[in-house]
Amino acid sequence: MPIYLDNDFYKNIETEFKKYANDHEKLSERARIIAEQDEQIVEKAEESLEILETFGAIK
Amino acid sequence: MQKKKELFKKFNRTNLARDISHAVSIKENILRKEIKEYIWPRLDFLHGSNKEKVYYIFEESYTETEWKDMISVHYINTSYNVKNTVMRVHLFGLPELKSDYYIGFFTLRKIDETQIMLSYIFPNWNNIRNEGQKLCVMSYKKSVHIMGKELWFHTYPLFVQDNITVACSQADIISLTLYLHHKYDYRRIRILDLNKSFSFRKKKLFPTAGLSPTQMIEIFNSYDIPIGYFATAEHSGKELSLTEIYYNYIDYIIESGLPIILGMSIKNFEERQQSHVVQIIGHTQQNRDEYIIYDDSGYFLKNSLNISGFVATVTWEQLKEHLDKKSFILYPIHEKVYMMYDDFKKAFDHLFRNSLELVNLEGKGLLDRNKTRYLLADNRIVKRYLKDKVLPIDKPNESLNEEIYRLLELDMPHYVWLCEVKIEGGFFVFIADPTLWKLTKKNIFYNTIPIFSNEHFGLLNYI
Repeated sequence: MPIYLDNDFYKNIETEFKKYANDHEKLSERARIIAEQDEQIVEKAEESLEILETFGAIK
Repeated sequence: MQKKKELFKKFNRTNLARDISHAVSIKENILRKEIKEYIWPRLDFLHGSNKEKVYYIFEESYTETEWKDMISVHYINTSYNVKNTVMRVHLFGLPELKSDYYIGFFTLRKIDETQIMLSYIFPNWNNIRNEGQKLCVMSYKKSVHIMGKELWFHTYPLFVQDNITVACSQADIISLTLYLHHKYDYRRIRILDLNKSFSFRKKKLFPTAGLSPTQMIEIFNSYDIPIGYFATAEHSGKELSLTEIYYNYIDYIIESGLPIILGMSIKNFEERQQSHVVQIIGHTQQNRDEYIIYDDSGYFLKNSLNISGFVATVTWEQLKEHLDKKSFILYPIHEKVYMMYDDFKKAFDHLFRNSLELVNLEGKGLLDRNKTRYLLADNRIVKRYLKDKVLPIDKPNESLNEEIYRLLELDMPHYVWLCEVKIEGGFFVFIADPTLWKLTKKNIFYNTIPIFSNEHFGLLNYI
């Protein structure tokens, strides 16, 4: 195991992860970011379908 | 013992033509020519450079569902003289009935007009080499029975079109769904029912004109196989370029042990443009972006890459040259996955940016996010990996051991998201719940700390 992954690293990151897991604001921020991306995904899916419909038979 | 040795013959065109000739009453010299032209090139990948050292066992009659279906839907109405069984040829690296030497089998359709004879290839991917290197191909465990002996092997089935009842689009559906059926328990699609499973722009069925991508999606849907798709016109100025999106999607789908149908518009040597589909079923052991492609007619490999085989390794650099506005991918998605790839990537990115420790490691060059793998995996395989590969590592840190035991005891959904980040000296592994809605305000990650492992997590192995 690499020496830079010492006790201090694990102690600190455990604190960070716990804080993150219980931080409602942070998790709401994540949901907002995903919602913003979602618009693009829906657009992309529509665009994909439109393109697929232009394809003829594939042999 | 002596009798067992007589089972095996040297795998060459003369011997094979003789055996087939006995079975179908076609002259050996005609068969030799046909085998050379239509069958041999398809089987090149099975024996690699050890062509001289391959042996075979010939079974004159074997019942194959797909061939029976093809007869039922079409050949029964024609003047072709067909038999309802196929011939089966088992290949071995040494003349012994052992799984260790088993290369796989292929079947030949019994019909009085050749050129369309090869039916199925079931390679033992564990024993296939490309330039001496092992291949990482998705597979399921299958058994064959030869002379009362049962041999087990890891296969991904390759079905071959006849261009009359089945074109490349149907062949890929048949082969892909047979794998999904055995690997993940999805419904098996039968040729017998294939043409009843779609209605959109349906035309005369035989000789087949192939299927459009939307018809293919309709078929998957009618069998309750959730299917994802992606096609796009090049659009600059957006977050990712067309090829980057393809690259990322192909990587996550293949790493998740799910096959991809890749559609392309290909110009042949006569400058005619034709749509064609191939399957991406794995990658080489050395490179995640050197894909194993099955092209059931060889049309793409021949016309675009000047490769004469039907199974080939194709690098991302080669492949991306052929992705354009007339390309698309279709891929299965596990039913109970509700947080999709793009959303999970964003969620991980958010967690990462909120951890000073991780950001610091990246800043010091000890962590490389460019090599991050995202994949869906069965939680039982993930737990086996934690128990067998991660837990035994000598860890000076007690909390890491406790975390692994906690994860092993945790009730997880069938499939979980796994994210593997490359760090100096190993990997960080993160596991997340894909059953929550993408806009959830719950924490989706199971980890309370990153799991260190010095071994890759992989689904494309032969365990």
